[in-house]
Amino acid sequence: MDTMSNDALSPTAPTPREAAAALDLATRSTAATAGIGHRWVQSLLLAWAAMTIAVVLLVGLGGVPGIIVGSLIGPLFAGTVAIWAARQGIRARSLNGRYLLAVLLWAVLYGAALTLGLPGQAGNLGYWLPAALATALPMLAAALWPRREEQVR
Amino acid sequence: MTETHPRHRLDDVIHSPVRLSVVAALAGVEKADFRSLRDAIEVSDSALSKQLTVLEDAGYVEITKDRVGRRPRTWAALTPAGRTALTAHLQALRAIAEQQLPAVTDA
Repeated sequence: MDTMSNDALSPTAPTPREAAAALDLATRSTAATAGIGHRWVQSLLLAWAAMTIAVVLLVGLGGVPGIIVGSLIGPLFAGTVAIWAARQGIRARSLNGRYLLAVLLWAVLYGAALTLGLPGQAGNLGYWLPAALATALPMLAAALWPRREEQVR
Repeated sequence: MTETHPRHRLDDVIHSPVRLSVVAALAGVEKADFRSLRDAIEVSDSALSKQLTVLEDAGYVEITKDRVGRRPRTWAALTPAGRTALTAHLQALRAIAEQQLPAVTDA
């Protein structure tokens, strides 16, 4: 028996068309999970940006009641997000990279906005609106920046 | 005989379509839980469980467990060996897919 012929007809060797179909399957599988992982992180960051704008405006423009309510929203949001994030079934690969950078930038800007604004800018919309938008910017940028394709080549 | 045909570089473990789907799905994320993985690649619980066991035995996937409240949860993550195997397998598939059949000429 011609062993070369048998080897050439090995059932484990895909045709070019089968190989292309397998590549397509792999690409779709990677994109499916990467997309789910990216979407829930994106939703979290957008909610975080919206919460930031609300809290900064409340604290800066709402007087003492605004400061009290604003102080309560932060921990409530963090607790809700922590529970929600723990329930997600997919962890994105880039979660430890640029998202952490966004959180660090947010913390610096948030602290700076309150530290600079509370002593002398209370009630001044001209200060607090730009401050709120600037503080939310890292989260918006991280959420909306085009993500790197998660592909194995 | 030197084995130059790209089929010799195909990985027997990953060659199964379901297992290829599993490792490719895990390649795009840090880790995925059993339910999310099952839904993403559209297989039954029993099929996924069986294939994850094969992949874990091969050292391509790491399985861990934790709890969400009272509910146990199983996580799967691609190991470095699994990522290397997937990359090599995809390269072999790409080489096969790009092969040109010889042109047929009239005698």
